[in-house]
Amino acid sequence: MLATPTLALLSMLTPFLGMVISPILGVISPRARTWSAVAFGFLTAIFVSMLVGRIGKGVPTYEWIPMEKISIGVHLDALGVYIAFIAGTIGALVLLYSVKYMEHAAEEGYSLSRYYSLVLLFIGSMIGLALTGNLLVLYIFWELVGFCSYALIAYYYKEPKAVWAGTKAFIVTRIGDIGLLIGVIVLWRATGTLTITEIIETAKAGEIPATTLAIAGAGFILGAIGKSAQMPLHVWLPDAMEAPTTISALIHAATMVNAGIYLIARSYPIFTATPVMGWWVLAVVWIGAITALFTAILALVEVDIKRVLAYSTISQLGYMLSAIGFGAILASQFHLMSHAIFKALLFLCAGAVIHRLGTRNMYEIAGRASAMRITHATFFIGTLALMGIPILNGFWSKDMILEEALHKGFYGPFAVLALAAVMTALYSCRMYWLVFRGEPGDVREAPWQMTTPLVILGFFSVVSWLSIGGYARIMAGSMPLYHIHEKSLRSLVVDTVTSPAISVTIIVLLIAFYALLAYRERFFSLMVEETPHVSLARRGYRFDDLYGRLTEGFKGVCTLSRRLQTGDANLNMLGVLIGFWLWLILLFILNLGGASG
Amino acid sequence: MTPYTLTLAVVLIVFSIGFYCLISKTNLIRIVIGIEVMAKAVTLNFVYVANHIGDTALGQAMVITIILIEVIVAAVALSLVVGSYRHTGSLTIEALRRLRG
Repeated sequence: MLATPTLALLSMLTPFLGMVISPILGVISPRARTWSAVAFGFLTAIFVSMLVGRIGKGVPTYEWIPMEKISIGVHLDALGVYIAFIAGTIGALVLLYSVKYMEHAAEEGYSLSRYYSLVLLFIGSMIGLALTGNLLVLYIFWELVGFCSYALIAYYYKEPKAVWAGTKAFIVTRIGDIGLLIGVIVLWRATGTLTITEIIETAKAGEIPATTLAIAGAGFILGAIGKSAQMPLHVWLPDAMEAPTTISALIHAATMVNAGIYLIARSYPIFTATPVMGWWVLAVVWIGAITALFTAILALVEVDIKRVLAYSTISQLGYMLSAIGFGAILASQFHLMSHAIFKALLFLCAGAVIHRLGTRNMYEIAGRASAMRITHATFFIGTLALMGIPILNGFWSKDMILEEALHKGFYGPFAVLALAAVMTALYSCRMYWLVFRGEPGDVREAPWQMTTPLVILGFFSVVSWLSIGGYARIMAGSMPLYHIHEKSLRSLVVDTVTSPAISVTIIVLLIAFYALLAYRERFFSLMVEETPHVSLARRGYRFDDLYGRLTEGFKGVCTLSRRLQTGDANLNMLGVLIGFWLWLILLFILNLGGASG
Repeated sequence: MTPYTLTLAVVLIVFSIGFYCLISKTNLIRIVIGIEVMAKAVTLNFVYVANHIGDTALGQAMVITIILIEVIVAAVALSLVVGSYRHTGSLTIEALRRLRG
């Protein structure tokens, strides 16, 4: 048996090691590179799974910058380890799936070494982000995750659209990153520490000034909505669908977007320790609820299967965000796990369909994919889980969120979220019908490297909710600062069945199904007609235009300031050195002032 | 005039020579030489300041490290010059004004 510190270190470092080693093996043979990357992925998954048994065990911290009390350490509580577990396991399955799916990229002249090492870096950064207990280290990994998503979205760099989407993702999430950085810095100035547990304790003692909390709270929300693609910064995620489908699965299920939810859950006790931050909770709840409904509507009118899934992810993340606002961290994390499983499944199924049929337009697929038996069956399971049909994992976790909303008295958000559930059912049915209901086309099933992850994920979509007892017990045991109540499997079932939330959701689902069955053809054709509302929704309610206009304005400013750049290297050099001297003189004067005062 | 002021003057003069070279020359090789001269002035300053504060060993350790780094900087800079020469067919810095492609 490995000691806990070694295990924690191994699970953090294995992906980074793989990132270096697999391209080196690529020099010998492409096969060695690919399969070594997969092996490193699975090794990481094994280490992270073993880590789940060590939650709550102490791990020594190492001092990094002793003067400022900044230490690197692993904080093994349930919140972080579960996220790392999801990232590691789903990452491994995605790597296995990539073996076949990415084969065509090498023929088109894209480097697979770049692909595999970036994916491993992506997984490693997410695990690092989840396992650290220090805000500065968290921020560094946060940026690494952002960089990897940029590099992987723009993986097909010969296509201008992909490059554009990658740049867009990077710039939009960067707005959030700045918010997070400001939040981290003000918290550090106020408390003198960057360790999250110590900050929470300081906050509970009421020693953080209200203004600091307000700035940090706003900054953390901004960071989370950038990373988790909540409104109004949701615009990058649908465009990120230019990435290879495996990367979409990774971003949506395992790595990128969960980081924002994790951040809010992690910092929840800091901002709720004192009653002055009531607005923070309301902001989190309403951003989540409105995003859930709004993007579900957008998903209804999309014709591209991957963009439907992208909007659906944003919508589900909205549920998780509002659940944290309700104070239901357990429910939000449980939904995060369910969502990670079924969304990875849906994306990988979509990838298999795209792989065989070569189109992403659902009206072009038109049911031909139904010839792919395994993909069809697993996609069906994933769709049911997404809709929240009983006994699949999505049902239990989504219902837990709605139940908490009622329980805590958030009736407004509850209504919005219930309506979003109807929209979810509608767009899921539409997507399933368009892709898998129709004349089977002349297509073969995907190869085993692709179907194995599908079957595994499909299986867990059905059974993952059974783990709630242990899940809640470990979470309650390891996170005393978060006030989490244990929940057994039995009480989950009893609570769900007896709560008023279930009757509401079932009634609305029935209405939705009835409407869909009765008016299916009309509904489908309505969603592609160019009525003003549909075309407005298809343009994402013009959020892109708004941001486009802002960038145009900024470009105008840049055109003016460009005149400062002469292009003469000698002159520029003179400017650099004069600037440097002025800076030195300024520092000198400031230091003199400090010394005398 | 104490020895330290004298050496400081030497350092300043050497630095200024390098700086003048940097801002007035258009030949890339000369610019690299200018950078190197400036760096040498700084290295010299390290030697004298360490001596001045009475910790010669520290100064020597620093200077040897700096020389090592200097070598790397020079190698990288010269390789950039070679690359730029292959790319543009000329050694003038004007040729680098167009960064595109």
